[in-house]
Amino acid sequence: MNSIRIRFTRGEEVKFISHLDLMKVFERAIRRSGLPMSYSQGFNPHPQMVFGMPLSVGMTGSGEYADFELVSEAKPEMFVKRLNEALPEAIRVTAAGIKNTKSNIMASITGADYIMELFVREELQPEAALRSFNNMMKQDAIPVIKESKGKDGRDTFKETDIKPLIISASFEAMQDMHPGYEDFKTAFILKARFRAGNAANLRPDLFIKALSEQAGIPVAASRVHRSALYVDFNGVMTDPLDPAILA
Amino acid sequence: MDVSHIQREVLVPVIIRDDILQSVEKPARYTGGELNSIKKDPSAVDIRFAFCFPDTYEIGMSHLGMRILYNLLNERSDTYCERVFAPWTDMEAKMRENHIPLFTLESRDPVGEFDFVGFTLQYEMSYTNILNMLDLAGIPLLREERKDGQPFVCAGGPCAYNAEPLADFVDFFMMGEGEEIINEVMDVYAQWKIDGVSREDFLNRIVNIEGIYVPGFYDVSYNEDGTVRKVRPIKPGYPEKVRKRIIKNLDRTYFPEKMIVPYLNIVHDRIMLELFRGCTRGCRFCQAGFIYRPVRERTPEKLMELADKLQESTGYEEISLTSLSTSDYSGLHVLTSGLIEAMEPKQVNLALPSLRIDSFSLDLMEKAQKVRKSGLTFAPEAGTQRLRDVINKGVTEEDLLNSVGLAFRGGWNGVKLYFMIGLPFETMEDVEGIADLGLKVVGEYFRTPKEQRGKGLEVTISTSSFVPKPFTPFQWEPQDTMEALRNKQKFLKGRIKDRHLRYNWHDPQLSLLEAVFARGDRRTGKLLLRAWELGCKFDSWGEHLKFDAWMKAFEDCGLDPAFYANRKRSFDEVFPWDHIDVGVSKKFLQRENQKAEKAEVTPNCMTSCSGCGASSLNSGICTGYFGDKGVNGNKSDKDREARDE
Repeated sequence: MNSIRIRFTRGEEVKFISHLDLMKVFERAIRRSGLPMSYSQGFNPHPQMVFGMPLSVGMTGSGEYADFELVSEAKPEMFVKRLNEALPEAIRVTAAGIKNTKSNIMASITGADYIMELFVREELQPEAALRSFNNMMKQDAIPVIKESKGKDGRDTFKETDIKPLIISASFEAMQDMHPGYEDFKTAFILKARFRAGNAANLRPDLFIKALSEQAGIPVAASRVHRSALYVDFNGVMTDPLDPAILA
Repeated sequence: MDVSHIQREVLVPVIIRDDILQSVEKPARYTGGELNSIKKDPSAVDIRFAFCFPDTYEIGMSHLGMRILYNLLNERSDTYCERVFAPWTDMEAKMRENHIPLFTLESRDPVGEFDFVGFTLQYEMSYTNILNMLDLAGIPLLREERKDGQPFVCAGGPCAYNAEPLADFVDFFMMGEGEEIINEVMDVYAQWKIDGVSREDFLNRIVNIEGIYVPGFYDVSYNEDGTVRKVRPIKPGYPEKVRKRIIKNLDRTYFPEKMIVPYLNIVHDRIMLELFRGCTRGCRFCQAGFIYRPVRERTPEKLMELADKLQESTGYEEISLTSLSTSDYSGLHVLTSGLIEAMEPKQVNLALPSLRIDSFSLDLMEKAQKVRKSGLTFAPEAGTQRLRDVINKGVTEEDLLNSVGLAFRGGWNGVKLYFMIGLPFETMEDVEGIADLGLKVVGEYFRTPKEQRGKGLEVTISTSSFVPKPFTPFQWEPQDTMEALRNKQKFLKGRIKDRHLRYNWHDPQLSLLEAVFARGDRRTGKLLLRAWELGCKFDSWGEHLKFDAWMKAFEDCGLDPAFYANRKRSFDEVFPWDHIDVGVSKKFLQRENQKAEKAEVTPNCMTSCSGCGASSLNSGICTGYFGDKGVNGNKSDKDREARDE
């Protein structure tokens, strides 16, 4: 079996395309690159590839992952070079490794790092905001109402405690306002590690909702970047390209 | 001398916040950055060209002409051509609320500060979007109100041949195929930027380039009955007639080897390979069949080479053959087998357009597209042989039934049949003939042995309402009133009873408006402006058509839709487009009209020359050549004769 795992970035210009469209971008890049991809059988053959947790529309990422099946061996350096030549500039492959394990990236994600720029219309004192943030984080539970579409198409509301899903979070005032956001009086930067993946997952928007509801920081706009994804190795959050993981 | 227009100011790109993009449908319509989109340093060029398509990204990016001209203009080191599409209503609301002017996808610079703002005119019902885009760009809508330093608004495309409805808004039109003329205009502009005096000075410098129409240099007078008396140049030296441009040799003209690959799913999301321009058939309702004459082909060798390069530069998984009647391509056999052979190992499909069905094309379809055998499309256009002869649609009932029979035996079980209602000289018998033909197709299915045919037959009959177009033999004919069209639809619905038949039809409101602008004169510009003021835009998108507002606009402008749409013209009437020369003569179109009334057919250009006048363009099939290969002998003597008569 010839499998390869890549790490890639997803920049500003492609943050508004859907996960399905992103897969198409890779599919066409692979066709252009002439890399020895393995294709599925059937009427419409697709290259065999699996992506780590899809990034929500509107977010950028620098620690995204995908697994590819090849028909013959390929050196990771060569694979990175040729794929980058064929990809649009806003998507860059930054690392790759031969994957020997059968487990694929989609099923094994357990954590994610986020950097969020949060914009508030009102003028807030940074010290006061930091205090209410810390108070929220000290609570035993952080209940948030989660909205979702039920099977019948109607909105359902369910209260969830997001506290156990937060691994770490730090909060500080942003010094220079991002261009275009001059209408907003206050801005913060939040760096956080959340549980992610199929078993337990915290979406950034739910955390932002908690900030508004529980800490009184009414975030009106945000820019979210996912800087890393992790997989589990003996109970430790580990880089998906770690040799121990790929083995 | 005012030199303010000479200095290149560095434009400031607009900023669109994430929260705005996150709140609209399909934000990738507005973010650009696609593979093969072109990035240039704006400060390093002299000419900024905003290429505008007055509809959504998905529609505009599917248009081959825009793809060609975008790449062609960007081959120039002094020019940066960028793309602009009509923002959908949700984005427009956000832009107006946040004072974001219309911007280009490439640099996000404001369109209002470009040198040129060019629109492609593909269908009449996109005109309100042109006004809306100019307004969003902060450009005065009326050309007379534009000042030095503001962009020149230009337009081209098939609808430009009747330019009059847009004459108040557009500084100049480019008639015909754009590959050469657009470069000639850019050359003149680059010089004008150095030593030019005024806007009018620039227009004076280009007015004698063949194919350029400057509406401000022409005066229109009217008769008492409201018809046009004369369109004439306001000064000697301006051309009396503006002749369209064509590319004589398609193999040698520019065709991009790289094309943008959109992130979004667009309407035609594949490589588009243009086999030829023009059409030999001469269906009398079809404007494209006349305005693109004469037929000029690319050679299969050239097409194979282009296909290869485009496939490598895009990575697309599908190639389609794009032309007016692909089945008529003289090298179809060679090309398709060559393409299948070359593309199969690369996992690339060949998408075939609606071909005339014979055993060769069926075999081809089997090979090319490993798709489900569901829908096949046929366009008999009319329900009886008499009416098909009237419109010169060279298809017989036997042809159609043979084709569907072949398809049914090949396992296909879905057939779509396209017709028009309201065609000139149509009777209720012809309308009923549509239902009859549908039933005969059903009969053909049941005659097919059970073990050969697919299960679950579905025959869909669709009717559109006929719109008379300029430069066709039917340009003199009235459109049916909306009432008459609705009656025919109702009548036909009552005749389509078989459970295997489905009937689709369109409300005729849009067809009426289309008919008004297709043959509109300069006064319909006021109507367009008024309709836009009343909120009309995206008219061709059913949910946005505001028919009541349009009717109010007619009333406010004192115009009668029936005068434009439902009036029979006499052969001596002066048309608002008579000063435009597409090659095909008015005499020929009149002859064709008279033959139509007698249900006489005219052979297609491959069989014999009928003297349409296009031979004066001295190219393609008229010179005895398709592409590089001789066929057909030299027929242009008869043609010249006919033109002189």
